[in-house]
Amino acid sequence: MNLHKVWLVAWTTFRQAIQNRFFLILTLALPLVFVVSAAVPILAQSRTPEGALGCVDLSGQLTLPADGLSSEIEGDGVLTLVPVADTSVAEAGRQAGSLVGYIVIPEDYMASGRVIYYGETQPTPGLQQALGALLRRALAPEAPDWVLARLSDGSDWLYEDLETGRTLSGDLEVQLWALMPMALGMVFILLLSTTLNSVGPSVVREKEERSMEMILTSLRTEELMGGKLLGITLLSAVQLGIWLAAAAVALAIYWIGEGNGGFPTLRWSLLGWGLLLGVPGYLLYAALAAGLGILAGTREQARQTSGFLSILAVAPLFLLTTLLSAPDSTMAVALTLIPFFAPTVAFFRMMLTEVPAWQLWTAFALLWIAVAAALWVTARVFRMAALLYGQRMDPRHIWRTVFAGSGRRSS
Amino acid sequence: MTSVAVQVDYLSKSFGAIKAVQDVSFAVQHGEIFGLLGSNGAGKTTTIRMVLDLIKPDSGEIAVLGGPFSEETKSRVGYLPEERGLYRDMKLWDLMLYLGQLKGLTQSAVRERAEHYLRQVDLWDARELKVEALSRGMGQKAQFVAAALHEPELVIIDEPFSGLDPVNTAIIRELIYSMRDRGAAVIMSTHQMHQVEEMCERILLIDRGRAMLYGDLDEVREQFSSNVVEVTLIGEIGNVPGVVRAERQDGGYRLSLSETTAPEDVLRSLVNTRGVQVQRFERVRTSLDEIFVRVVGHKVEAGESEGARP
Repeated sequence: MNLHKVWLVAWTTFRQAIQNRFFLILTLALPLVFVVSAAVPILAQSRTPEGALGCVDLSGQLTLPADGLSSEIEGDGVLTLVPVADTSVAEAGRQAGSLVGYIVIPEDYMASGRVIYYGETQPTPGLQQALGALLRRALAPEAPDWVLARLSDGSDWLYEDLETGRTLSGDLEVQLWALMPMALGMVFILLLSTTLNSVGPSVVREKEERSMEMILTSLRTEELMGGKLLGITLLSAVQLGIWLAAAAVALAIYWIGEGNGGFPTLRWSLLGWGLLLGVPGYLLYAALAAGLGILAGTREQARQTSGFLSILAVAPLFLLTTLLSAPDSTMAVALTLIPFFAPTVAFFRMMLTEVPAWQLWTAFALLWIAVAAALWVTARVFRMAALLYGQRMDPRHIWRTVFAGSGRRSS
Repeated sequence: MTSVAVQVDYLSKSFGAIKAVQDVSFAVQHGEIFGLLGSNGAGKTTTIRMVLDLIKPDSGEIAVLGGPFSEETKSRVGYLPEERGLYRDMKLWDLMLYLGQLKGLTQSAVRERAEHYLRQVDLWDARELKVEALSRGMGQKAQFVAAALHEPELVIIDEPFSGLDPVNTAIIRELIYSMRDRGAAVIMSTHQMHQVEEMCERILLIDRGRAMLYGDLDEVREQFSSNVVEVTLIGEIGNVPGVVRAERQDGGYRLSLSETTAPEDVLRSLVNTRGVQVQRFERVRTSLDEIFVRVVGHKVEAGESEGARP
């Protein structure tokens, strides 16, 4: 195989695609959409209605002075909780404007912890926080402030990772640590989605534009196919890199904003498995997308055909709840060993369990066997279908091509 | 460099029950333009694809530029397929750089040659345009340049003049001549018989997958020539020995001679006839069009093509 020609095809494929305005819009707009969708709820939040909030205590457990208890709502005024005899009085007060709303403490409050809020708008997080502080104070009026503060803040957990020996501190770092496998699985699915959307149309391009004959007198089908896959991989890597960079910036801002220093701890063994399973997993899908793509007559048909593979790629997401509820179940183990699902399912399981090494290594071996088979089949189909302008091959034809061998084209 | 560029022996190829090519043999020399003729579905494109190793023959031998077609051969061969196609959303200049490098040229060599050829075919000013913005004729010329850019030793061109106006036809014709003069072997498949008559030294006519005529064009025409002469003269023709029929035609006569009569005998008789002054005497040459009709059984249509059959 002439690697220079493979690189020429790859670079041309990459350059052509990256200049496409739809690619640019999608790549640059997605991070923007994330930011906007994160900002919209904050911007759309109504201000806390400042004033008195009635409290109808049916449980009889709260101690509220007649003039009420007050607490600051962080950056949003002062909330005063005043006792009210019953709901009809509270409702009358709300309608008269003396109360901005009221809460009802049910009889089973001590068991259920439920509080019912009545108001024109939903309680904001700030209001809920202030209300929580007032309820704690009303429950334990004699308790010193430091006890209430301790109860309010909860515990600051430290987590000592036995693998790295590093101590994780703070909720955010612990959460990041736990969510890393999930993030890896999602990134893998995202990478596959962008790739699968591009491979089919890219490989069928010469066929649709009737330039295949001319191109194939310059290079082998394997060089053309390899170059296309490499070009699309580069493209997906750039796209994903931009998205991940945007996510990393957002995370860094949040990380620093939470008062953390240094870098979050990375799970290196997880990243290692990410590469070991992710690379063949990616190749498997890309090779099959190329084979299915060349069977199509046009780019549109190729895009539709690759939809089937996209469904396979995202299928583990549909099983996420089942996988997380029983990460060591027979089904979870079986899915880990099926090459189409192996990387994603393994990553998802790693969030909650220690996936045995034999399962990961078996998945790794099966994945490479599947990749070899997919490349073999695709290369044969590619040779056969490349010159069938405007035609689609029927399944019988494909079967003959793959297993009987037509010798239609040399390589 | 051997003088034989392509040697094909007993080539056969079937697609299912269809025998696309049967026992076809021919050779193409360096420095010649070889005409490959045939009607729709005759087997021309299949033959070309086998020569270019795009498909494998069922039987037969093919030697291209001194041996079996190899990866190394690809950089020595240029191909303009009948199915025209270029990357529509690429700039013409980028396209030339890409295709030239795929043929093994360095980027600087491609730049130099692309400029030379694009200027020659009057496309230099269009180099920054996308292919989709080119007219059909411009696209045709661009594809021709792509096939010629690496100055191949063997060029196979399928219908090189379709869709071209007379000016562009002349430009492409000159390019083909220059490739031949450089020593390249040119295989030209076309339906335009007058172009074949004008440009080709030798031909192969294929019909239903079989070689029907093969050889030097003049010899083929001689083989099919009829014993007919055209005469323009002053005076009355009268009875001329050996003439079986005389028809008036465009101010002259078209004389059909008996099989045993030589045209020179008729000319001598006319010259010696009192009151007759011969102004023009010409043996009628059978056109390639007529030969085609006689061999294949129908007239070739201008737009005939072999379609998408592999």
